[in-house]
Amino acid sequence: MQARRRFAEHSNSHETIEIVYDEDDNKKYNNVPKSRFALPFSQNFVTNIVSGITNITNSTNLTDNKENLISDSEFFLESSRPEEEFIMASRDRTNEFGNAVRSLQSRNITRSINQRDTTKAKQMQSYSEFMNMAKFIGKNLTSTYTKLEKLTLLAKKKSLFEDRPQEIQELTYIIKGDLSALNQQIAKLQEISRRNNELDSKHMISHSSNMVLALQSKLATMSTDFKQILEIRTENLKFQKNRHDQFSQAGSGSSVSKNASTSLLLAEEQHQSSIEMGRQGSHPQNQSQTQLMIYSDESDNYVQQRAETMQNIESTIVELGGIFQQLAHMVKEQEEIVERIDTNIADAEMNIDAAHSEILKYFQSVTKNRWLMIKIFGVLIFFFIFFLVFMS
Amino acid sequence: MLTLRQRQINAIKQMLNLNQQQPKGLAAEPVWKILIYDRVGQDIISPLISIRELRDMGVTLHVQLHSDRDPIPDVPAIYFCAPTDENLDRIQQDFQKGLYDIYHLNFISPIPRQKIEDLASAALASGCVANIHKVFDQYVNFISLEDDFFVLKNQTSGNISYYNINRGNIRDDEMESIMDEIVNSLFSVFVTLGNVPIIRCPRNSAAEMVARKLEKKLRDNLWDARNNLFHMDTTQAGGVFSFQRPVLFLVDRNLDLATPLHHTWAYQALAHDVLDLNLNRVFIEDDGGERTGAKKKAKPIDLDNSDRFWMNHKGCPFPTVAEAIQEELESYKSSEEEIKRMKTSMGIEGENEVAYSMVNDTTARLTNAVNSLPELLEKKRLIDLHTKIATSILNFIKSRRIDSFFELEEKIMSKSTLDRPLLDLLKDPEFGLPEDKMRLYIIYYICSQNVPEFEFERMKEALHEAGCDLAPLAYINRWKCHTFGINHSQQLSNQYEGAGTKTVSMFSKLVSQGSSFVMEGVKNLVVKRHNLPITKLTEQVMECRNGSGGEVDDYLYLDPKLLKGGDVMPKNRAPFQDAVVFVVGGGNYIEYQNLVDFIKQKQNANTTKRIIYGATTLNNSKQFLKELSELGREIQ
Repeated sequence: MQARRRFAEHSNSHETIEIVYDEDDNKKYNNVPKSRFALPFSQNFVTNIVSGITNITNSTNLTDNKENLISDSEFFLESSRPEEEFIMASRDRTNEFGNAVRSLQSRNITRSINQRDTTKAKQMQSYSEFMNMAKFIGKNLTSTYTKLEKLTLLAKKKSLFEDRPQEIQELTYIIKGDLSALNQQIAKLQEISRRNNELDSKHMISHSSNMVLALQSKLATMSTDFKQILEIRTENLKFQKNRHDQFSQAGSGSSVSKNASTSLLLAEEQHQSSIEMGRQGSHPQNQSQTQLMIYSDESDNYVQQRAETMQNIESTIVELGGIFQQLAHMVKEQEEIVERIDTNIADAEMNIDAAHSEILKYFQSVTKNRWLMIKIFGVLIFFFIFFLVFMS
Repeated sequence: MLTLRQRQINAIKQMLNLNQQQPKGLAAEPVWKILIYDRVGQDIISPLISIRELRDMGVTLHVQLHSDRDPIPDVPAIYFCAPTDENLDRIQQDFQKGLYDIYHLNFISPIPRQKIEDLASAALASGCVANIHKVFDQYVNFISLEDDFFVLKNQTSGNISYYNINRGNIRDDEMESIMDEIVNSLFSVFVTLGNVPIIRCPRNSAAEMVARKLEKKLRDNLWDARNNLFHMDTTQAGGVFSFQRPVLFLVDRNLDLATPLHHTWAYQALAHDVLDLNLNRVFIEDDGGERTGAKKKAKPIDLDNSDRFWMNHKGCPFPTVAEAIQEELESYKSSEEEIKRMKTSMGIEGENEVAYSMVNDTTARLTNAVNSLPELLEKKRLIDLHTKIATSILNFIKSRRIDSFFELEEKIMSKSTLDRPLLDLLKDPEFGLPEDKMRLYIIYYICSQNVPEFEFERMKEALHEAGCDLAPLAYINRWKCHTFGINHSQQLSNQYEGAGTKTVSMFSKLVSQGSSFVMEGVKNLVVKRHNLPITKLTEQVMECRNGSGGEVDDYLYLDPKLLKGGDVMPKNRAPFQDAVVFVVGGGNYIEYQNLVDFIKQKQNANTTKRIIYGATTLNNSKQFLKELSELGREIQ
């Protein structure tokens, strides 16, 4: 029971987080005219961040309490790396540095302050906007991830009676919303970085594009996980349905003994009322009939409900497919970066070699020219002397 | 239990995580940062962490310290470089220009107090003291190439080469600085391992100097309560290592000069000898298409832990590797077939209305197939890659007759009779490169005894005619006289006992399958298992049998944990489980593989023995021969 109450708290917190990706805000972004995009956007943005942060901190506080719950989820543990061990192979010398600074400071106070020029400041503004956005997306990714972990926990439960379709559906819906919102945000981020490209230097461009790429790949892995969880959930549902069918068919056989067995199963679902009825035991025949009626009614409801859930999940998978398609080529790009950091150096070396050979070629041609020039000079001087001697 | 390589990777990842403990799980919020490294740092990181992993850790940009860098505000910049004057100047320039907003300085070896003060004053002058968040000493100053193989330097290895250590005219202070460099790196190896070793080494050699200095450094650190780097030993899980102290066995290259010149027959060692394997990367020249440029474009290929085939076969003799590639190819083809078959069956089922109920099941199978596709592609990539490497190695083997050289040298080492007199071979112009002949001759010279002097003279003449540089001989000659007096020649000649090969009938299997490798004319040599001199010594050191008359009896025994250590081994020491074998003056893959084979044999069910092999530098025979000839020229 305690766990259930906990979960209620959880789902509340998700609803609050949901505000962050409010549709209205998105519309606002889109309605702002392009030319004046930067300023109002950032204002909105800041308020958004503030609300987002408070919400997220709330939720993280909550999750901290349930850390044991989360750590139980084997799904994430098994997908992660080999054991991490703290390696003490470094020594912190920051204090020493600080002491050195202080002692120097007391000796001489002269200090020049380097000023950044105005063009740089302008560049800085657009850049900081970009950075804030990236950080914001990073945070949202993290919070979505925690939700995903919770969903995994719920979806992994196999038992028929601990099933909470309502909550799972809600969570699925929320995460789905989060994913698409994140996708949009990243697209926007890419837009900003592209806009900044004209101003920025080469390193800056690669820096920002790498950031976007990293975020995208994170989103991609997350949606893969999400998809997997949904698949697990569908599997579970199918399994449960099978079991359910087995029992309900057996129940329709209407022999009393069999009814008793199904009623026992039902008893668990309907909790105490049926048990009390069983205790009374005054009209066994009658009771079993009523139970049967209730049961068939319920099972119809149940089946319908299940069918809906399954449809929902399937549609979600289809939608996710769309996101996948978008991300596919990005991930592809990422895959290609399985190089090492010295690759560029090798390329550079090769370029240098090529340049060297070119220079050599040029040098040879120049030396050839030199010979030609010397010859021409020789001929000229010869003629000059010739004229001097014979004309004078 | 983590290997040295894994520990180093963890240490570096920790550094990249701004020196905080790494968060668990993917849920961590990404922190963007840029990495700035010098050449030493590059050599350390590049075999360990790929760019992709860097990206995953939030490193968006990685640049050389000495390149032109543009300012990037608002992001922490992680410096990873050696505290040389040149580097520090550059860092101070960065401060001056205000390139970054947050600095995290990590120095590969400890930065002296004086230099910290210089840095501080520079930071004060440019007003960016507040921007410098962390200053760290990292103790990762070595390059781990394999899980149990490390070298100290690569690009900047000129300083600690075999040539420099054995130079006749070296000054004392130069020697001192070389030794300091080696000791610093070794020290960081043990900090990374998190354990204090017991040191053993032969007396009166460069190795002894290293041993004494290392002992002193370790002891100073152990008794320095404030800066102790080893106090994690007992609390933090160091695994087996914390209870079982490893033995560090320091060897001088001069102990065995034949092995580095020996031709080899194992895959990895061949790749190193013939293709210049460097930092786990080979360059294979593309032979496709004529290019306008003068130089053919060389394609880099990484050979590391992720390559399963490489991991399994790097120590195998070359013919086995060729066979294995063939087998892999077969299995790949069969699995490809399977997928094709499945496609057709899917098509049929799709048309059938009855099979609709089966669809769910088929979807699962389809997903399975789709998931296995990348795996298959990866497999294909590996097969292609190894085919390429193996063919180019094979070309070299054929053109240089390496198989014959290998067989001959094994015979010389094992004192069996040769089919043809050596002189004829040396005179044969078709038979290998001058360099190969030189190697053969040196091995013959080292290993043979009771050979009349005039025979050597005639061989020398033959070598001279073949166009060899005779400079190394002078040095080898002196080395032989110096290291092994007349009395010792007996002992020396026994060192290589047990070597040998036998030729097995041609690759019947390969030929029948129409292999892509045309191995015709190349002997299929099967190597008999035997231990190289260094491996034999290591065995004795690990077993700790005292007074058994072995060579290691009078070796130094230094224990940095004892306050006043004698250099005599205590009686009845239990055998060591872990050993670090370190060769001062350059190692090679042959010895590494020999040690790996040796320790595999020693493995029992209840004891796990491990050996880590290390060397100052990693030279192939060509480079080593060059150093020898430089030394020889010095004598002349």
